[in-house]
Amino acid sequence: MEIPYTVTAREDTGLWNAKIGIWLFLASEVMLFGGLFSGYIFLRIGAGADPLYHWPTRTLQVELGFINTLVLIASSVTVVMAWVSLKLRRWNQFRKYMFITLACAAAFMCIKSYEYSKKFKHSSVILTDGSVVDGHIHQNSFIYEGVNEVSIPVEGASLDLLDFLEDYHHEAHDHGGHAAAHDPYAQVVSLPVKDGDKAHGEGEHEVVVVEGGDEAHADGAEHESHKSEGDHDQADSHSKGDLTFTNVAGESLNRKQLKRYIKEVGMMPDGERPTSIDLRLSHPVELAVPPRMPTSRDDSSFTLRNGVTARGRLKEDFLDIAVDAIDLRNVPNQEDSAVWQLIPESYKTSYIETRDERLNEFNEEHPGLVALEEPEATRVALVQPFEKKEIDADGKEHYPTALIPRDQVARYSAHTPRWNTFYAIYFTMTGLHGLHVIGGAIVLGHFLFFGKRIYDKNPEHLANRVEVGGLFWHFVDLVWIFLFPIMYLF
Amino acid sequence: MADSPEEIEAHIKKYWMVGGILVLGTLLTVAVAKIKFFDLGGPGLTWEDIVLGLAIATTKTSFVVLIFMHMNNEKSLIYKVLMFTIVFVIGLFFLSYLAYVDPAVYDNFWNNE
Repeated sequence: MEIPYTVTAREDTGLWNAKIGIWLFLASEVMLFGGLFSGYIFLRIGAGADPLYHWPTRTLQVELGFINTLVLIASSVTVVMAWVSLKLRRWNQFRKYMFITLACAAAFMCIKSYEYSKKFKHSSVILTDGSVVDGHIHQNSFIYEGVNEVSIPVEGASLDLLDFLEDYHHEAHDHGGHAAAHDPYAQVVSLPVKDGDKAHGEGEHEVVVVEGGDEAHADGAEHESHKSEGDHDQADSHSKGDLTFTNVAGESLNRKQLKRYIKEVGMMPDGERPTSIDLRLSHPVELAVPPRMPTSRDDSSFTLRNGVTARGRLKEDFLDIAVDAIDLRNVPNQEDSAVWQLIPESYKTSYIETRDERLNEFNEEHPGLVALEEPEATRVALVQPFEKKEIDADGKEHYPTALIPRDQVARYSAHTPRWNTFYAIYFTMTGLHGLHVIGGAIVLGHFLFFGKRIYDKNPEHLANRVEVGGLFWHFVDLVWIFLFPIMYLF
Repeated sequence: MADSPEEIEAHIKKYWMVGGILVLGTLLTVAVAKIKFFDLGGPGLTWEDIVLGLAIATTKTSFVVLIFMHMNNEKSLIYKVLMFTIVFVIGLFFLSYLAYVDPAVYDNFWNNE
């Protein structure tokens, strides 16, 4: 049975089915985005309640937002022209305009993806004195050296530790050439399996010697070293099957057998079963531990989420960031900011000069106002980008590097939704809008690539479908017309 | 909404013109935000700047809705559906206004960024 009113209009409403359907849908979409815009307003109003939280203005690249706006406007025009082409029964012209529409959608998403990736790679660090340092974080791990003992809880034991040793061994800079720290497959010798307070003697339980790499060396000789970053990548590419294990009887164990051993220990009867399997590494390793991994740590040990504890010495505990901007609005006296202890003196001199210049300029232009009481003037004077003035050994320019001791870090994050409410609402709204762009592009693409059949059967039917698809596309454009000034310009 | 091919042909030029107007409106929006001359009210973002920016955006939106989405000549049922939507949207944003005038809220909105 043919569905009525798919092409011809109903007599009472004068509308065909899809037309009333799409407008009902768009009405609900207005409420969806209206709710989010309303949320934005609440967050913006609420930001004023905290004098230390400065709603980020002019944070986004206006040029990219502007290009995206032009791209969507162009796509709106071309989708209308595609509909016009169908109404005039010009098939090839329809295909041309619809293709351009889809190309604009792809361009929009590419620019949006580029913007997002830049935000995800860019971070801010708030120091304990209120200074904010922006830039790219190079290194943000606790460095433990001389890690030579690990303890695996028997309950829920796994070989995550071995993955951990592979992934997080740190390239020790004070070792030339071959270095034990480069060797991720440390030879592990056994410790007696402990049962609570009572330690069993060696030999009472089967113990496991863990080695790794391409060749197992029972005498603990160093393996082929992995000297460079490239070699490190090669080390990372070793599959789990490359690990070899030898027990004290000289029998070769694979990873699965080692896991079974641990499981067997776990199945020992109560009273005999130890709470943990302690292993000693014959080659102490240096581990770079990402800060999110340990549930607890101190100067001599850290514990992972699965209960594995490693013992060594805390060697380094700082955050290494290439600084491209600083924000000292929350520092009462900018000359005393902790940032200046971390980067060359020349940046301080330049910052203070620029600050004073901009404040004086504002005061001259607005005699009745105090610059430091005006948010915009404060932002312009106290939030300053840095230039790439440092030259490295290869002659390349780069930003100054700050090694921030962890005890000076109050908070840090990449520019993701968790950083502040601005980014939360920005990613929510532009992300949802982007999903609508993708959805609309899929529908329009379907008309472009599979519409010929409908066109041949009933061209007016396809024209109606393209019209409703175009209505959705125009709505997506409307949302962006408001999003662009709100997010990028206000 | 135009139905016959002749009517549709006659509207083609209008569609391209609206596209041009939208581009100009976007340029104007950026100029208003970036050029000091257009900084209404006091320095920085003030309610005058917000009203101007939203007025430009609303004008652009109107062109898209009326011309591209054919709302300048649509059937009455569509208008009735959208009337409900407009009422609810106004109610939704009225909540934001209520939050602004609520004395319990930090009463310094216009003086902050």
